[in-house]
Amino acid sequence: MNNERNWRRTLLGVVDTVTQPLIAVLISLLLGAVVILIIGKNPLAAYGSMIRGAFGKQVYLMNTLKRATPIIMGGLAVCMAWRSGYEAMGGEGQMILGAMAAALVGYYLPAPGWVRILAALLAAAAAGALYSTLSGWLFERFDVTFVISTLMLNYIANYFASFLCNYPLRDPEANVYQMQNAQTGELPAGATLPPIAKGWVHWGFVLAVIAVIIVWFLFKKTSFGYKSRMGGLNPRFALYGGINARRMLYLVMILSGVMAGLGGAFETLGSKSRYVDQMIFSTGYAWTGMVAALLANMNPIGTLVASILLAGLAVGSSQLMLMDIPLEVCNIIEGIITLFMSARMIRIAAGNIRRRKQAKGGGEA
Amino acid sequence: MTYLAQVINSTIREITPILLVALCAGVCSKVQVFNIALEGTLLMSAFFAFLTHYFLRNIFLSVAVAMAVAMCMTLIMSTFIVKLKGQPMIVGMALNTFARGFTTFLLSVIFHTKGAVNPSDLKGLTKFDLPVIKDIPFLSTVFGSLTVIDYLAFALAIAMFIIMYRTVIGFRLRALGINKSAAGSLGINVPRYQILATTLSGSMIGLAGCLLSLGRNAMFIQDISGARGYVALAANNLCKGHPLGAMISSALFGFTTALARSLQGTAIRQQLLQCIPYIATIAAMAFYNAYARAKAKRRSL
Repeated sequence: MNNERNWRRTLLGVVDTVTQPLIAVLISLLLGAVVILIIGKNPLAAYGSMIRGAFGKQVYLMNTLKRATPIIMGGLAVCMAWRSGYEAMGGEGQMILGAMAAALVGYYLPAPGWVRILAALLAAAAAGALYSTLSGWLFERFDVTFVISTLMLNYIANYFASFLCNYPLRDPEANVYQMQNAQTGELPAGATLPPIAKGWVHWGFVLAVIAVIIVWFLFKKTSFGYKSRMGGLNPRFALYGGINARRMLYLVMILSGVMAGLGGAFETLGSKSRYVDQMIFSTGYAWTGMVAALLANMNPIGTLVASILLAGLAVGSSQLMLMDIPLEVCNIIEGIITLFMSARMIRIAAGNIRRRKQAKGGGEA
Repeated sequence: MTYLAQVINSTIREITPILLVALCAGVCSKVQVFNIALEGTLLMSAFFAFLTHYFLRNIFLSVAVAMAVAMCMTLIMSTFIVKLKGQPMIVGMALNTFARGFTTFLLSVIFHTKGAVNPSDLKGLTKFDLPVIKDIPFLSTVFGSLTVIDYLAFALAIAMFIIMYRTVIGFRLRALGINKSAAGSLGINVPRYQILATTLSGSMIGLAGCLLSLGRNAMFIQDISGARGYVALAANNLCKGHPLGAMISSALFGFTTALARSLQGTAIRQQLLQCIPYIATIAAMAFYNAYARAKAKRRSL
């Protein structure tokens, strides 16, 4: 009896966590279809070519995974911070500085290839962690809320990196065409993350998946996961339980920054081989990562899945250009999914039904 | 001297959009609806102001449309937060993502570009010259070619102060913000007040949007809002939601932006100059909070 009830509760839990994203995705696809219909195109054909363009061929699938790599890391950074109750949105700035640091170290460090890669990854992690700690310090020391400090720091990081690659670190040989964005020097062949196999995605993706497993392990199996979650759920209880909130804040921010910084490094070392102006800002990797983490309700493994799907949405929508549909459809869909994921629709509906039932039962009695 | 007057003039023009958005943010924060969709709302209203003006060539209609669009966005935001219990941060970010995608989408569908649309035959908002001041040399530059909305922004700040602090409605709104359940027990319909107040104040973002796309010349650039929504959020945070304080705090940001612009062409690179307003925002908040903390400490001794 008891067992049966437990089992049913688990099932209900699973249904609850799965239906919400499903409904959100359905609504957003419907509204996206309306938008496509309004400009006089066939939504079914558009969605078909999007799916084919994201997962249909090996090349496309690998493009999707490549794009997913920084998104996964940005998502993990959000998982880390938000689970502990720190609603920081600084992933973008940290990712930009990480990408820049990796490009710098990879280009200028006089060492054999693999040492350069390792040093570049370390530098990126350090840059992300430092920048993230800065917002933590502003919060802890000056009560500057995370929302504002991180949003501002994102813009500062982007302009600073833009300055670096436009002036002191600009690669004079590239950039022959005026239209192109400024960029730093190209990394030598040995200093980039190689593809897993010929025609496959680069090793950064594997590292990202490993990071997902590590974060999952941290959350589920260590006291750190428990403590950070307690701090987020109930700071007073955490304090009562003897958890040093200050230490947790910095630890969480550092780890979150490391994730975001590495995400930027993977993008530099794995796909661009250099820092290109606006490469993180215009693609919105960190924001998409945040959406992925939200869709997965801050679960690292769910974040991995959601990141790949959202990356597929973006990669697939570039196929829409062939049909004369602007690829921003993917941003519209992404926005609507997030909006409907935020609402506690299922839970509210369930609550209403329960209340109605209770009211009825009360009337009969 | 004229240079100084020009700097002041451009400061005023930088202030007004931020002030209008900050006033809306102030109302939202007073009724406990955390609105981070300001940025997306501003972008959408700027776009639709431009679009209406482009097709209908009617300045009044485009202002009205911008206000309506802004109110719609704020209505969606507050409904999702208040009624559907959405997490404010997520709702806001979702609307911002949507607004960025939607405006760029329409921009490329209608104008077949993703950069700037700048039709030369399209006039912006009517400039309004003050009767006496336009004959005084220095002041005429300071107050030169400002639009009605620029003046309206400051008038609205004062009006908001009167509404929030001198009327029954304002009292109720503030009571609701201080203690939701206590206000509810006094017979105030809390969700309705929250949604109504935020939606109505959203119209001010519509005015700000008009200033962005129609303020000087009529034009639209992708991401024209340029983080002003976030800056206004910070401005509001700095003045703790007080409408008159919003004038001062948005003046700070308007000034740093104008300063950064006026330093262009000097030895400092443009990208570094563009950091100034954001750094100033953080610094101002840090200083203010440190000051407030020290004051509280002194008082408790």
